[in-house]
Amino acid sequence: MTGLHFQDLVVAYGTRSVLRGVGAAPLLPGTVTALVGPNAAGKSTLMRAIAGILPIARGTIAVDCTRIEALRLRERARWVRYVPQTYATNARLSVYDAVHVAAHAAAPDEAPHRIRHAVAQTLARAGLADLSERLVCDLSGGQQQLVALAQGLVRAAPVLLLDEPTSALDLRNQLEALRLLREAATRDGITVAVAMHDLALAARHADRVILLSQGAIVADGSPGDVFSDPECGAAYGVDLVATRSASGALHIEASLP
Amino acid sequence: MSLAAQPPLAETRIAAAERRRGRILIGAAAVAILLVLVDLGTGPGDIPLGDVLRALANPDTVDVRLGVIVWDIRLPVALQAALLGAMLGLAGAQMQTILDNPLADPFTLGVSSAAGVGASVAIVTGLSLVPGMGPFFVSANAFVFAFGAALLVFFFSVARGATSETMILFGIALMFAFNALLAMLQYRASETQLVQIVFWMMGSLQRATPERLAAGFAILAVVGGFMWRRRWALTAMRFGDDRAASLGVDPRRLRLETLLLVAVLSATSVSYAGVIGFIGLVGPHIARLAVGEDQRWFAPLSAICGAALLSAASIAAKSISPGVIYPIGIVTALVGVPVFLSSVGGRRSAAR
Repeated sequence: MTGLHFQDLVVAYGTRSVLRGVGAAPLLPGTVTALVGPNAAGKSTLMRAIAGILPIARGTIAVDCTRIEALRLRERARWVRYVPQTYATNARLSVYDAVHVAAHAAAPDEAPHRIRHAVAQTLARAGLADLSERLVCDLSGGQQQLVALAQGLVRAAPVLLLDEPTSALDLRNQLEALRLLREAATRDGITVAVAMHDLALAARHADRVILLSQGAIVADGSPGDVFSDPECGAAYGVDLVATRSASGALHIEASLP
Repeated sequence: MSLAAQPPLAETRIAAAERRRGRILIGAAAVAILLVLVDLGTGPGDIPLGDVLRALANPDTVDVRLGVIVWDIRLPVALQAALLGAMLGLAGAQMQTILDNPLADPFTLGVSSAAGVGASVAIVTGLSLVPGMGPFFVSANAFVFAFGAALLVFFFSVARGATSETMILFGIALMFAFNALLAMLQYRASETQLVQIVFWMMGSLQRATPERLAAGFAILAVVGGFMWRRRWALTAMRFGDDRAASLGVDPRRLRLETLLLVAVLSATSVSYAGVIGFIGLVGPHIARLAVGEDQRWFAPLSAICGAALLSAASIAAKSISPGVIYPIGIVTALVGVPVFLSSVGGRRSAAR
């Protein structure tokens, strides 16, 4: 059992449970999993719980067979990296500094020149090399989101969780970002999970889709299976039609009932 | 391919940017040292700067009167200006970092009002909270109250989750409470006591002694050392709690730890020389504009800028009207505001 395995996760704010015993078959290294579901379904909560930012009331989390749910943030960061939805920042740091501090915080004992090298490589891959000396606070929203993505990718942990990582990106950059995530999965064997609202993107770029609704997993499987499941439309409160074109690509159409 | 060529290029440019910031740090340190020397050369007695430097370099060759003026009167004051300026600059920088607010300063959370209450209690009631402090019992009381106020914020924040919002709100509430207590003490005080309280609050660098200076530099070194160990975590805090947490930084713990370190600096400073405003706001502000918020440069440069600014204020305090040394707390704002406004103006034009 390698990859990310969480079972029976319960998270509650006061008396209100936000996650009600969430568990799934392991998310495998080298794959990209999309977490979908309507607003307030518990996608972000699940990621934050796995990353250790929210305390869990019950459940287990394991990465590559190592239990991590009791680890403190410092140790947990060696196993899981989380890129939250909020990318906007007023930090007066250059793009390079921003990614550099992420690399350093993630690997405090690494030799400085190796960290510098890793940062430069990540910047080049994310298409940020030309912006490396610009201040993050002066960048556009989309560029700031790319910086957040680069902070997630630099000296990556075995598990990478991203919350709506393409919400501010233009069409080209959306595809570039998803290509980067795919690359991280296949080349570095990272387990990638992405919370997404755009089902069409999820259908095209994810190996597996997990559908959350009201704090529970209601469907889990290949994009084709999950999006043709009637539960999916029901979770969103829409009529959902998934069709395959002649080329095999999955098309999703949603309409109000 | 271009990918193979890019990293080395980026790396050289990045190395150049790091060297540039190193040079800014050295340049600022040189300016600060120069200002300390000018501070030494300023004051009643009209001694040429050359004589002052000679007295510093070879104390045995100059006449006794000059030696006493330079070594016993001016040097402690000048060193204290640099020391407290550095403390306030550093404390302000970290307060702004952990509260995610560029308007925070070392006294944001009510520390200065609490110190005022502590000093007033000593002046009005003659009550010493720390036995055996002799003539320094007013300062000692101020330290106890200032640090106590920070501890109140600390424990309240521990109970309420240690977000920047809870800290600021509770700190402001505390400030009003201590201000009310201070007003009550002042209302009860006799006329002479009232004058003492007001003068104490205005701040003075003249109460410097070698022992206090040595203790102060030791405190700055220890606190600065702890902050330096946390430089990556503190930089990561600039991206918000969640992103910092994802990088292995516990934002709440770091915030509480740093609050205590800042409290040591601000309580020491306020107990040494009363309330000195503005340095903790403007020092980090200038440092941020010059080198950004990477703590490797931001923290030391904030301290250096604070030292330079307070030395400049110390010079101004002695030079505004001949024969009068104004309380330092009055002068800092006068020196600080033009610097602050010019840097804000510069930023606006840079931001298009």
